[in-house]
Amino acid sequence: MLNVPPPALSGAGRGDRDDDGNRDGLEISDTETETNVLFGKGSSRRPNETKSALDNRAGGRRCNRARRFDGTRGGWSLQTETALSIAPTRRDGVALMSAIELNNVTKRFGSVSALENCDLDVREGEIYGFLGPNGAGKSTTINVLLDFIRPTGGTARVLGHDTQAESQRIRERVGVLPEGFDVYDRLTGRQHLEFAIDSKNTNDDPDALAERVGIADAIDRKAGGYSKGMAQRLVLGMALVGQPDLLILDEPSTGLDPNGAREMREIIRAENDRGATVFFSSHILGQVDAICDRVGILRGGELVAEDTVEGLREATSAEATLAVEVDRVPDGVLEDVRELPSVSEARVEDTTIRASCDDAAKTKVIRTIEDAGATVEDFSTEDASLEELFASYTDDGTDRSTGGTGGPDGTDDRVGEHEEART
Amino acid sequence: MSTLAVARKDFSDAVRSRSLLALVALFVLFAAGATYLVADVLGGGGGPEGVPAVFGLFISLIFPITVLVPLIGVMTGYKSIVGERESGSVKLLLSLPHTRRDVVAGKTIGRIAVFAVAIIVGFAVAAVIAFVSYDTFPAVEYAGFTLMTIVFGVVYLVFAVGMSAATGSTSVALWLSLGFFALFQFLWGFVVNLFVWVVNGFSSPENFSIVSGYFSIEQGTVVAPDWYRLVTSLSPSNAYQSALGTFFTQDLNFGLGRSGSVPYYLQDWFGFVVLAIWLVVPLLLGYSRFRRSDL
Repeated sequence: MLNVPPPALSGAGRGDRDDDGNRDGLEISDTETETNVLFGKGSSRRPNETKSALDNRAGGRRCNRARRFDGTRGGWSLQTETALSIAPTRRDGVALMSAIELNNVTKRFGSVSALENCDLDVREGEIYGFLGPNGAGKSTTINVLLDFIRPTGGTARVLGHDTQAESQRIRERVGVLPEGFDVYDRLTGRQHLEFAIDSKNTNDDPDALAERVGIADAIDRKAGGYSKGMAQRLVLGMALVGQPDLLILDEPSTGLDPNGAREMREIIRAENDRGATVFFSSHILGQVDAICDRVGILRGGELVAEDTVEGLREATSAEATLAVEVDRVPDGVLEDVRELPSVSEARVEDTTIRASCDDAAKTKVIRTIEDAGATVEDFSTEDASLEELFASYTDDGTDRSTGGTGGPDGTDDRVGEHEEART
Repeated sequence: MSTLAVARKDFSDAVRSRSLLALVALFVLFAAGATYLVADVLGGGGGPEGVPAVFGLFISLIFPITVLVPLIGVMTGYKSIVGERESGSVKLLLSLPHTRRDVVAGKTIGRIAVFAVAIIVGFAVAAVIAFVSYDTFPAVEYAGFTLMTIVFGVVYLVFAVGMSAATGSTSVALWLSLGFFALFQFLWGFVVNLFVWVVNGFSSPENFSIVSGYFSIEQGTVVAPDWYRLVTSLSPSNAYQSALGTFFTQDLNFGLGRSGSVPYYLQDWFGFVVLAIWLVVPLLLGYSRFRRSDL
């Protein structure tokens, strides 16, 4: 699925490029650059989705960016355009309900505050990535949603039900992959699944579920002998019982190898396509940006940013640095590059020209350098990636010396592989 | 239904873990072994005069039962909920549409089932030995004896489940349950006596010793006040013996022969009331704490 080329958007998709690719390395890289313009580095937006669906999904939300990049690294302004001022709509145009709604939720353990006046609004039908470093309050939030713990203040509703008064009704319609769980060592995988089926009063087939989460060959073994990853798969299987309207997954990729993480994402997508809302937490951005419609970043018990992935990416792409290695630096090339619109800065180090520019301007920069008489030997993009954005929020704004850490830099030519490398 | 789903899972967990098997083996060994010992080695057990020898068996079994059965009850129950809290599997349990009441009730039922199966099997094997060893076999009384022994053990089991629900640590749950057992099994009489002694201005009333309580000067005279007799009979094992007395027409001194002339709360049937209170109250207290606690 990941190698399916994305649909042609604005005539610059990869579909019509792959065939004539491989003329030379640069061409492939060039293609990648243009793909980045649309999808951002390392992104694999649902390739099989139509343009209109994609637009609709982002529709009304692109403008909801909670923060805007003010140009300095780590310096995200707190300017907020009221999130969700425009209600997202479903593909058929019906206004969406809230799947998860936190109002001013505070949770203190003694004098320690785990959540502080947290507001959250996850709409039905979206995939919401709940990001933050360990200890930011992600699990606390999820525990509140499931009534494992009770908030000190504020209210929380899931699928329209109060989390405390109607917890059981919520859990009838929710599939959960909790954090810090343990399986029943002596029960087999099948008994676990049967217990979930029994509890939810459905008629799912344990074998089909096991097959889906990839533990079919271990279903009759005691779960005590499962690896962490297998236990994770088993509990995901339990979460899928009864076709839940909402999936709450706390750090779903814990213990999974890259392949397992990819399968996890595929299941998340499939469940979302079925109509389920997916809310999952992670401290690893790479798991989130590929599949989320929206992302919330939590730090120190507060939601510090919330935006669509596209919105975040748009903001970060503005800060991308293009490094072009040339055989020689022609006179005046720096001035030419600087004159390009949307190039904020350019400088030369030895035979490398670095330009901080809009993502969309990368091709123009390369062309300008070539026009000046230089031969481009290699180039790479050093995105101010989502990781960096993430770091800027979660590291308390402290500077990070590394550039984009999203994976191999722009020379990477396959989006799908790129994504795997991130996991 | 949710409660039963939890109970079924808990029971199959016990089957899988072989803890059921271990319990059954233990009770078979205990009940059959003790019966064999009493009937065939010690020569019958020696019940009161004029009563068939087989009743001596019941009398001989009472003391070992009141020690072993509560301990097994505690061991069966104390980890039931807090163990899942400590391991984190309670999150699996409560991610599914079970209420916390379902969890407490289901766990209680599941553990009672395990415990009851073990006792029934053990006592059934013992019944065969008794049937072979004695001339008569009082089936009805034996069934009542088995049933009341289950109820008696379940009091401690349920108390342990209550503690398991109330606390966040298995060792706290264990020690609270063992403390309950020690208090009512070994110390209760002394505690009540100490109370009498303190209330009396740190001195013993007439016909009273802090070690043995009120004593009668002549046989047949009862000098202990009714409230004292009630309080001392509140321990689960006294209630168990009182309740047992109702199953036997023969006077085996289980229920201290109390009937007719004493206040209702000192009659044998009141043992059922006391057992019922012990079955319900600790569990409700444990549940109410569990309901309010953060997991």
